[in-house]
Amino acid sequence: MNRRNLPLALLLVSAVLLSILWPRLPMTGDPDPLARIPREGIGLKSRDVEISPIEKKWLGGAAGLKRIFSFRSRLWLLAVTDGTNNRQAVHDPTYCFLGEGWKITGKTRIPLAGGSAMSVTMTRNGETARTLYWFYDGAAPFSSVVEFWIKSTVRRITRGLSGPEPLLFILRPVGTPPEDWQAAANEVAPLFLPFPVQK
Amino acid sequence: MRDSLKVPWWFFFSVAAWGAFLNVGLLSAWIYDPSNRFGGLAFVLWLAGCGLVVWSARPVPARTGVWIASLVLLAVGELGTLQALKQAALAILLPSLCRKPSAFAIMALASASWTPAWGWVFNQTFGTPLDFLRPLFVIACLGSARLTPK
Repeated sequence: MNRRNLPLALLLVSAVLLSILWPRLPMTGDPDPLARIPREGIGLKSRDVEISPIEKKWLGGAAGLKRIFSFRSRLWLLAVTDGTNNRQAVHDPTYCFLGEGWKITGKTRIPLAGGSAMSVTMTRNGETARTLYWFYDGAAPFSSVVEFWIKSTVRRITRGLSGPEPLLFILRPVGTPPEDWQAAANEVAPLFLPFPVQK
Repeated sequence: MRDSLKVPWWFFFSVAAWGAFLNVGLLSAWIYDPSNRFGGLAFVLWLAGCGLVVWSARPVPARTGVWIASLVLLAVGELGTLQALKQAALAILLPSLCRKPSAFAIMALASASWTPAWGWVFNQTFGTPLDFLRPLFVIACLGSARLTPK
């Protein structure tokens, strides 16, 4: 190898070594943010739902919880995913809905507690359903998947110094769906938003 | 001949090998994700198309700057766990061997056909991944790259 090639060789070796060693550095942040999501509160009662083997397979190293809760005589199913240990487990939720056989018929952004959530309407075999999802990193909820990608990528590059990992929240009504989704979302979602996220 | 000896092919092939290794996950996307089914076929067509365009317009140029950019994209993609950056690295690396800059640009654009981003963008825009269009898009790009003026 001649001298002209030396900088290229150094660059190549540095890039490969850096990408092997850097992810092994400790990441700052809450090791278990899901544990901070409230189980009970004023008018709120919940119980955990077992995560199925196929869901565990999808999660890989990511942490997830599923919980049925009641609030003001309405039942909801909440699923939260923390992709700290497997970023690929958190992706655009509409992929999951399509994978479950649903056809997406509409998406609407709903203002929510200083940020926004996404309301998705879908149909399957004549059945219509509506689901709400948002990401939350302790600041304000947001519904942009691109924003999630940017935040979680920068977080990994900075080993957590840029902020906490955004969690993915998916909320579905169990039984009769609410008539006014915006009101229902702003009533229910804040129950889970103010949980303190450690930086 | 002396010029071609100066081209750091070892660097190109090292980056290509690392890029291939880091993009192995694409295989599962093509196999298991219904919105990516034609991605594998589009990739094979793209690979063959790049080879055809490169072969038909030799000599092969040394775009060391593009290869370095590809290496940086791979490293940042790996550090940030962002697959799209690793795929972008591959998307510019192989077409960089095209002699004509316009063919390089067109074949780099054609790589969109095998990325999961294709399905995501079309799903967001039209509510369907338009998966069947992937191979057709590569063929159209290949035709344009071959016809592009010198």
